[in-house]
Amino acid sequence: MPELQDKYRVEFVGDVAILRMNNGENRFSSPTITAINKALDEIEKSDAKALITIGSGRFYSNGIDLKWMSQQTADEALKFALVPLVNRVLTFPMPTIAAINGHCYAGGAIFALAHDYRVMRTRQGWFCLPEIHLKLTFSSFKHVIKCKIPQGRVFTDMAVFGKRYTAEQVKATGVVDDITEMAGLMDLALHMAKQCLGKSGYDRETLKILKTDLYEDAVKETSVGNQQLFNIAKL
Amino acid sequence: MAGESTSCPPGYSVEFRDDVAILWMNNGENRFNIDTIAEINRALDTVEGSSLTRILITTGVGKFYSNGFDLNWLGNQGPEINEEFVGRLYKLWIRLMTFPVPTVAAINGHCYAGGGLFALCHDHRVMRTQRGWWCFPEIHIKLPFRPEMMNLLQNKLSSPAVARDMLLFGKKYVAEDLLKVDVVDDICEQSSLIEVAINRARTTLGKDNYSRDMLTRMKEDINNNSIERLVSTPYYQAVKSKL
Repeated sequence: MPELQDKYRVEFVGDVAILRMNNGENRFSSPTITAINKALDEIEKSDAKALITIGSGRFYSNGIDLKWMSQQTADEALKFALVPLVNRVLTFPMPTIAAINGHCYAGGAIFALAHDYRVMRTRQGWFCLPEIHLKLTFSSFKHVIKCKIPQGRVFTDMAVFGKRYTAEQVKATGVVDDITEMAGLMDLALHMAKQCLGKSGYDRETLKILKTDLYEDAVKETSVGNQQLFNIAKL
Repeated sequence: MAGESTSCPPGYSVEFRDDVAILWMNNGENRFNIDTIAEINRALDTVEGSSLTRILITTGVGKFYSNGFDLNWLGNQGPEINEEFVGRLYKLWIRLMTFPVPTVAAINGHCYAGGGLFALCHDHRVMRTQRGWWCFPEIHIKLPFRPEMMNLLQNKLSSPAVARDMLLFGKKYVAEDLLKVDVVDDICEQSSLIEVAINRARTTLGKDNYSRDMLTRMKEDINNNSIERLVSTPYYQAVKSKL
């Protein structure tokens, strides 16, 4: 769907690839996941050495498109591939930075957590894992959450009790690495990419192996054939 | 007391100062191969055999704490020796992680890769300032960790962000940086390093000391996850009953 692919565009700034999500709340449905994967394919085929994802307007991503989901047949719902997409980002063979330009909720926050780094704009937008409030579990994403969120108080507040965070608050937890005004967000993300890459960037194969081992449990849990999405009948 | 023993013999030696044992590594880059692992084990035997000893400090001499595996030597060995090396290394890590007295790695200089792993198997780490990098350069030399090594490292680091920076992207740290991420407990000038290491151990030791047996059992329990991963590898199993 060319109009939809247009809303998930890739651009390159030097050797950094930027995936811009420009689709309202940037919610995940099968068509939008397909578009994201196509963009990631383009990036993997290129010479890019780092990936930045960013939303537009008020939203980074508000998570799963529940309205779309409720209209799917059971078969269609089973093919919904957010779990493999998260696996793909988690083990992406170059440094990844989520530039959180606005609201980052639920599946959107999990998508952001799957990246190596997170930066966020100040003054607008909440970061939140509201699953408890929606009476949902993390199911196939519970290890992703565990491997990216510090244990203890932060985990309890953020993951278990679905606290919502401003940029300043989420930076204080360590889950977001840096924050700045919206106007400077992309520059901050590019700066982080540059700092991470150093002089020569990283060998893709080696980085993928390291990520796969470091996030072993999360990778296993989100591998194809081992997916368990929340009980869709509950929606 | 002088921080650095200029009269330290070459190789691996143990010095006793009251109830403190200091394992001096005076072997250039203090890299690990089958022979140096055996020497370290002999030194640890000496320490364990001394019933008065209540603290173990390990430290290097000169520019290096340890630069990790002896890759040159390994490259010249066949697969059997490589595998034996890995098994013996895992045995050494387990021995250190469960050592029956408090252990402190007094990091006097560069601490890279396998050297960092060795240091993380201690209860505490202290580091000198102004010289010496800490780094896991695996990404830079395109030599990934074995999964059970990654598992051990993760269990020893304090947060996902630190694990990312240190293990994925091979960031280099100086003493001040390591203090900020809770990898070392204290930092100081080289001349005070041993003293600071001993003080750190004494803080842990408290007034009442510990039963060696209980401390080993406690350490085995706490490190149970990492130890099981190492023990279940074919490398460990192959050397399990070898001296």
